[in-house]
This record gives sequence, structure tokens and C-alpha cells, in this order.
Amino acid sequence: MAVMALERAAAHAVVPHVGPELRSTERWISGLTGGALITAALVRPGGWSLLKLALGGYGLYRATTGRCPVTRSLAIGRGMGTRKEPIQTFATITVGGDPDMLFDRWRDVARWPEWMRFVSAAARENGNVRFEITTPEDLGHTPIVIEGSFVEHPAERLLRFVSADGAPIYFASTIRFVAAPDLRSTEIHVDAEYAIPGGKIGAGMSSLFGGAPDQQIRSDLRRFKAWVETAAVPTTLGQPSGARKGPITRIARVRERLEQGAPLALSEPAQEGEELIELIEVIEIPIEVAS
Amino acid sequence: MRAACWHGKEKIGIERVPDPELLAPGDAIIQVTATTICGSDLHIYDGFIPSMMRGDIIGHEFMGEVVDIGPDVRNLRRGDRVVVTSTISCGACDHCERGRFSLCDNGNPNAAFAERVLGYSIGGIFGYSHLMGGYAGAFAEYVRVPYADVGCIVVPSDMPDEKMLFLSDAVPTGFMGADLAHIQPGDVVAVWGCGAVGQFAISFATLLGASKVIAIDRFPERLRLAQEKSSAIPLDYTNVDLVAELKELTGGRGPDACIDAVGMEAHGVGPGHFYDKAKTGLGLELDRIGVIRQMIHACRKGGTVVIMGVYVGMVDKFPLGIAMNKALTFKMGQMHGQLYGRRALEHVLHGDLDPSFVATHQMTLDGIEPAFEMFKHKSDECMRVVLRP
Repeated sequence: MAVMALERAAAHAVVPHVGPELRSTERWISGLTGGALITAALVRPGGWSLLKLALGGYGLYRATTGRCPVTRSLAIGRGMGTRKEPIQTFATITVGGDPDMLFDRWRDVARWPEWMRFVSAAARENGNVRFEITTPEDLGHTPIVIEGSFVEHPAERLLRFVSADGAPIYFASTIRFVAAPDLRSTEIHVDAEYAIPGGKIGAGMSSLFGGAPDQQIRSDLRRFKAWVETAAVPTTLGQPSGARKGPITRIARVRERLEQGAPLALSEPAQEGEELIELIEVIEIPIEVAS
Repeated sequence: MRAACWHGKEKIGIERVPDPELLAPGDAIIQVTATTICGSDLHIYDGFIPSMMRGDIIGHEFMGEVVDIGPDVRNLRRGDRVVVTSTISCGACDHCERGRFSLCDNGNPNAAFAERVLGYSIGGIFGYSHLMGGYAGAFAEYVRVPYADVGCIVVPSDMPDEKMLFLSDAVPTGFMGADLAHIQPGDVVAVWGCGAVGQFAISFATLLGASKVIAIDRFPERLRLAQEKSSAIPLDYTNVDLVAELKELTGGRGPDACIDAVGMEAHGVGPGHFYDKAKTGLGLELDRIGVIRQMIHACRKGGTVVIMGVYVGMVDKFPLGIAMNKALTFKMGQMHGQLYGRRALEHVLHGDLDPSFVATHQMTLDGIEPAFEMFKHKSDECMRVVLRP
């Protein structure tokens, strides 16, 4: 449960109403570049004028407002939300089985590593839950330990987690187990809020969750569903494949970067020699890829 | 082991890769005795399928011998001869319990990724992109089969491979197409595409009671086969005004059910086809839906349109108004092989159908690239190539 909140934490780079996202220098550069592009488009109209106008306008927007949705989306290693103004998110899934059984499965903290992708260990200690997340290889497999209160409300089939003061990140989450209309399955609703600090820990968290924790939380919900319904989480890790070297598609290259926990981009330009057959947008989530 | 790996558009290479291992308690390892290039493999070969990675082992239609099983496998023993359903389904989720195996919630390890990209996810498919789970495929000496109890169909040891192999995909796909058409006595069924799936859709349409089946293609040998094996009425769409001809053959009503066994790379004639081809060529569209347009125009009012050919993206020039006002019913989906494969096996064992007639060529796995070329261009009257690892 707790990691769910963490996974959501990198979903949005910066809370939009906590001040300008861009530094003064960036705003000046954006303004000058934007003005130059607009001038060029108006003085020498041509085939690229519309593009120049659009880019120039965006530059002026950055300069005048101090905000940039692209930068926000790309922000890695930057503070995400504050404890006073945390980021909120939610997710849901339907799982076969009655709410009481699923409530019990979820509260079995020691088995979280079986279905929570990034949790390597978890245990109860003095009424709290303490679990460990390991960062990707390029961040040194640094273990991050999170501790917090874990309150169970069996009558309402509800679980709550709130990170302890002094935890590397702030998060609070609520898991509700509601009987589905078919009376043989259960709707699991996760509501969470979080704030990840900047610095190394924040960077580790962001890299860990591939920059899309909302996606990761849904992925873990799916893993929980498979774990309950089939007694195992589906996997391809460890299966054979041919050589991954050589010309690859853009999305494949981005996926490899995601595997390595590298920072992410909203769009990934093609490199020389790559075959541009991929038509879908680059998606910033980790997926399973065979070795 | 040796395996055929995807190296990019129209590039496949044989590589030596590690043997697969059991990764989950419900897994089995199958030594492949026969596999075949499916029409949907061409979409990968031609670079239409997103989320492929260099080095992916492709192929999804196969059979072989069980050489290892995980501790939770109950229905299989080492040495069993099995056909493996090309789709990967858990057998335990709500969709599987309802028999809608291809919609499985748990069979795809990358389901969340698929949901992010597509807005939904379905079960896994062997060797068919990372959106479909990223599972290693069947063009190899060995394959790891997840949920082996669900996906492996044990077949008699005395039946030739060619008679069993297509139960993996082509036969259940054709069967499901005919089944979704809700064929009633007196019905006329038209099937677009006389490749293997189309041939089996025609066969099962006849078996399920259609009074008349019309086979549509442009290759004479395929039309001839449909005529010989299933007494279908052959129709070469390049020589006729197809919709007018279908009306003519049905007293002006149109076929009661129309089945698409072609998919996203449909060929055609006339301006509509060139429009579609231009759009796909420019990357503005992934699917050419000429067949679906024809089906909507031709189908009888209140009739059923069944789509078994694979489509992957969004399309335009879809005659929705005609479909709505004619009150057509649309049925479609990836085939539920775990259901239809087993039912089809009964028909084969009963003698209702011998699927081996589509196996026109035999090659070794090393010849996979020429096999793809031959299959793609339908040269030497190729309908299906059986590959022996």
C-alpha cells in the first residue's frame, strides 16, 4: 500500500500553483528566443512560418508566466509537491474474490515484495510498517527505507498508511475494498497523496518509478490482481531473446532507458540509423523486457 | 537453441540464444516440432506492429512435445504432444471463466503499459510485441508456455503435425468467426480472404449450417481450394463489382453474415484502396479497412459483420451511418483459442475437417526469411509454410 503512494509521487513534476517553474535566466532566454522566432516568421514568411510562430509564442508564454508544461513533465529529481500541498491521485481495479479475503491478502505486509514491483522487503514493527525500496543500478541500488503508521479498519474494509515524520518522502494512502455488483469480485480503490523532496532521494524515486508513478500504481494493482487470482505475477524476466544491439526503434531505445532507470523525455528524437516504424507516442513507464 | 529474431522491418535473423527456463510454477517448456507463419506475423514483418524490439523472438502458431513442467501444472506430463494456443490466458480471471480467453486480465505482464498506450489491455500473445506481453515466440527450438494447463491442448500422438498444427491459431480463428456469425439454416455467409483463416471460416460456416458460402479473394488457387474443400462459391473481387455481385448472388438482400479474414493490410481495387494505401504509406493511418467498408455495404439489413482479421489503430471513412441504419451487428475479437481450439479438435478427430490442406510448403527454421517472402507474396501458390526447427 505504502509504495502505491510513492509510485504516484512522480506522476506530476511540480505542483502548478507553488510559484514559477522556470528560473529567471530560463525565462529571459525563452523570451528572447521566442521573440526572435516570431520576428523571423513575420519578416520572412515561408514554409516554416507557422512552426516558428507556434514555438515563438510558446517561448513568450514561458517568459511571461514562468511556467512550462513540458519542463514540468520532464522534471526529474525536483521536489514534487509539498507536505502542505501534496499531490493527490487515485486508481482502482476489480479483483476476483470477496472483500474480506482481499483485505487480508493486502494487509499481509510480509508478502508485499511478491507483488509490489519495487519493494524488496517489508515488515511490521511496533504497530508501524517498515519497507524497503531499492533504487536502480545507476543510482547504486540504494535502499530507501520508509516507515509509517499502518491502520486497519476491518469493519469498513479499509487500510490507511501515513508516513512517519522524518520519512524520506511524505505520503498517505487509503485502500478501500468494496464488493462489486456481481457479488463475486471486489473493487479496490486507492486514494493517495504524496510529496517527494528534491535531491538524491527524489531523483532516485523518480527514476525508480520511471517518471510515471500513476502508471506504476496501476501496474502494481494489476500485479496484485494476478497474484491473488493466479497465485503468481506474470513475467517474462529471464526468458531468452536475440541480441538487442544494432538499429532499434525509438520506443525500444526509450524502453531500454526506462529499464535502466534513466531520466525520461516526453518525446524521443530518432537517432541516425534507427528505423522509424514506431507510430505510438513514447510512454514513460517501465515494462518487463527480457534480457 | 536457435531462434528466429526480429531485426527490424523485413529483417529476421536466426540467432543462437539461451534455452528457455521455467519462470513460474504453471509454466511448461515445449520442444517445437512444427510452427507456421501466420498472416498476422506479416504485420510484424512489415513493421506495422508497435513496441517490437530488436532481438524479439517472433512466432505464435506452434505445436510440440512437453519436455518440462512447473510444479503447479496438473494437466500435462513430460512427453505429451500438444498444440499451444497462440494467445496466453490465465484461465482464472473473470474473462477466462466466461470463455473470453483472449481478453484475459492476467496473461499480459505489460498490461498496464498496454492500458496506457491503448486504453485497454488483452491477454498475452507469443512473439507478438511488448504491448502483447513481450513473450518469446515460437520460431525457436523451445518455447516457455505460461499457464500451460490452460494454453496447451493435448493431441493424439498418431496424428500428423500438419493436421494438428493449425489448431493453435488459424482453425480456432476461423471457427470463432463462423460461430460469431450466428449462422441459421438458410443463411448466406460471405468470407473475405481465402488464406488459412478464411478457409477455416468457410469450412466452419458450412459445418454450422450455412446454406450458401461465398469465398472472396483474388488468387485463383485459393478460390479453387475454397470451392473444392467447402463447396463455396468463388468470387474474384478484382473482376467484378463486388457489392453488386454479392447482391446478385443473394437476390438483392446481401449476405446474412460477412466475415473479414483479411485484416489491416487489405488489398483492394479502385480509388478507395489507393486512398487507404496512400494514408498508410504516409504513416497517417495503420489500417486499411476496404474490406470492412465492403462488408457494411454488402451485408443484409439486420445482418452480422464479423471481424477476425487483425486491426490495430484508428481508421477513417468508416460508413457508420450505413451500418447504423441497416441495424448491423458487429462481432469481433482476437480468437479465444483455449475454447475454440479444443472444440475444433473434436471436429478434426470426428473427421469433419482436415486442416492439413492449407499446408502448402515445408521448410526448416533456417529458411524463415525466404519463407516470409514467399508467404507474403503468395508465390508458388503458397498458403502456409510449416517450419521445422
